[in-house]
Amino acid sequence: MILKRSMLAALLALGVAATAQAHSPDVPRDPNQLAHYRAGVAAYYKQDYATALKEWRPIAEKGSSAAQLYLGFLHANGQGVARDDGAAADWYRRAAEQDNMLAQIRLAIMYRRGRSVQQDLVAAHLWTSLAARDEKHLKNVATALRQALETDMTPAQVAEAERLKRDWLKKHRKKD
Amino acid sequence: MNTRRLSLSRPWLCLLAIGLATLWSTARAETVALDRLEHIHGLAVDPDQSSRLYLATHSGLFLATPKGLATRVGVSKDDLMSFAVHPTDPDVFYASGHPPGGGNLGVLASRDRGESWQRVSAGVGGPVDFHAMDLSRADPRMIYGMYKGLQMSGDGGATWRQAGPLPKDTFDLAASARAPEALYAAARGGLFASRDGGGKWTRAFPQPRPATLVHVSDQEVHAFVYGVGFVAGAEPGLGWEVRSAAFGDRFLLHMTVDPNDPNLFHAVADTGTVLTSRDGGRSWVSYTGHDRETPEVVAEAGRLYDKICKSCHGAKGVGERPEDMYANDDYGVVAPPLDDSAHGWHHSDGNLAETILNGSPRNPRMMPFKEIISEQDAGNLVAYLKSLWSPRSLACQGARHMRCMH
Repeated sequence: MILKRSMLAALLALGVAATAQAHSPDVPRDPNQLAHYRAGVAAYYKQDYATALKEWRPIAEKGSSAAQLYLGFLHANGQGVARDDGAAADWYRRAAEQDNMLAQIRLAIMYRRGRSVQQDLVAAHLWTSLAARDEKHLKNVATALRQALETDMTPAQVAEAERLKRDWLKKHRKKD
Repeated sequence: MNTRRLSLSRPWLCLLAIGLATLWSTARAETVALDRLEHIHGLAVDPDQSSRLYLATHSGLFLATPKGLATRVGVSKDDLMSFAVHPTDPDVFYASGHPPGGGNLGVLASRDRGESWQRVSAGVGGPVDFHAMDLSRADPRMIYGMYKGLQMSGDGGATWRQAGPLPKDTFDLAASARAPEALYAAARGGLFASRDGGGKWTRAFPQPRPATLVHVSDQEVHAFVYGVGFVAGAEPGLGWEVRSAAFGDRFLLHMTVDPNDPNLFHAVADTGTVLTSRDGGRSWVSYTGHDRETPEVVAEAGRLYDKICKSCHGAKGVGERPEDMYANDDYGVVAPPLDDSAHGWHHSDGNLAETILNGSPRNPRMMPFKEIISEQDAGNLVAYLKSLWSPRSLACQGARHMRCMH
């Protein structure tokens, strides 16, 4: 019975591997960075935040947006570091600039609430509508957030945010 | 693009933003799961919506709903060791206790249901930290407080005098509805009554067992006598009736009666759980988790789920598909199933609703959905999730799942 179950598990795993899509675009490609990234994830979910920080910080500084997102999250929650919304916003911004859409949502909320950053609905709208390009996961949530933001914005502010979005996409050579 | 420069280049926008930020910070109160509140020292029914309860706690005043959520009232985080509502003016609250940083609060009053508090007196030998307080229904200007003995005020709390001694180890006080000078004390040695502002005490319940709670409503006196149970009697004769003996070694600490329904009681047990009785104290059930949503509300919440939750948690809460990129590359945690197949049902309604509203501190993918939905929506989403669970999971939901399932 146990043997049967493990065989089934192995078959399933093969099936998954065969049908698997590409990795998340945010996870490091470099094998060495990926190893550190994964060691950080493993430590994080054991709530070993000191190790997670140690694994993630160097690759975040080298530019891994997935590690940057997590560093922002550690700072926002005071995990392994003193709670620091300013540092959280900085890490989210670095990841968001690299088109990490989870970081874009987090940064948008910080701009909406004026948490550690000057409240800025135009910036919140910009980052929210960038995150709404994630068709698979974030589209509906980001769209609802964008609509909520727009109830407090003037048409001129919305137009300004849309212009900034077009500029951002052009500068980063990304598609809408 | 430099967003910081963007906002600084528009001074009027900054001003507007600061104004809006102020509005938001007051409009967006702190909401947590009810079972996370520590030390509930007093409670009262919201006169506008009798399903909601004001809870005076270790870290301030909260307004709780049967969905299991509690939202901070005002901004104070003081430890409210005692709490009383004016018997005829539902907007007026009294409290005492101590601030988080130490020292004592004296006697506080609020004219706006706890949104803001003013100290009305330091009390005798104060500032006092009353551990029990009550206003007389016979004359609401008469207030009793417990701090180094009994203190009383005849002018609504402006001035205080030391009154007679209290029975040893008094836990709770209640003013009689018959005469301003009459009151009850629940103490280790039993339940006692005084007709002269604490000058002389006589036994009010025959058995000398510890009394942990005494409360006076318009109709009757209620008490909890350890080892006997929840008892009630009408003044002046009292003629006690044991309404419920089904408490084992548990006991009740504080209670309140709905001003619009004399049989609807709410109480806090020694475990910190809020209990409700709809039959004058004869049977008690948890205050939370009894809301039954209509099929229409559940269906509507299902549509909301499909819109904002399904993209990660899967159709009908089955969880994430293995080929999903986040599920597949150690990006972080998979969005867990929310149906019966994982441990969603190990959490209380309040915990689930709190996570929906505030996001998860363990998974950056679970954002704070209060940005886009209301507290009501979150409660309805929980009702939808629970519609996906088996009766057994529903029966064993929450912290007791380990003992419940075999």
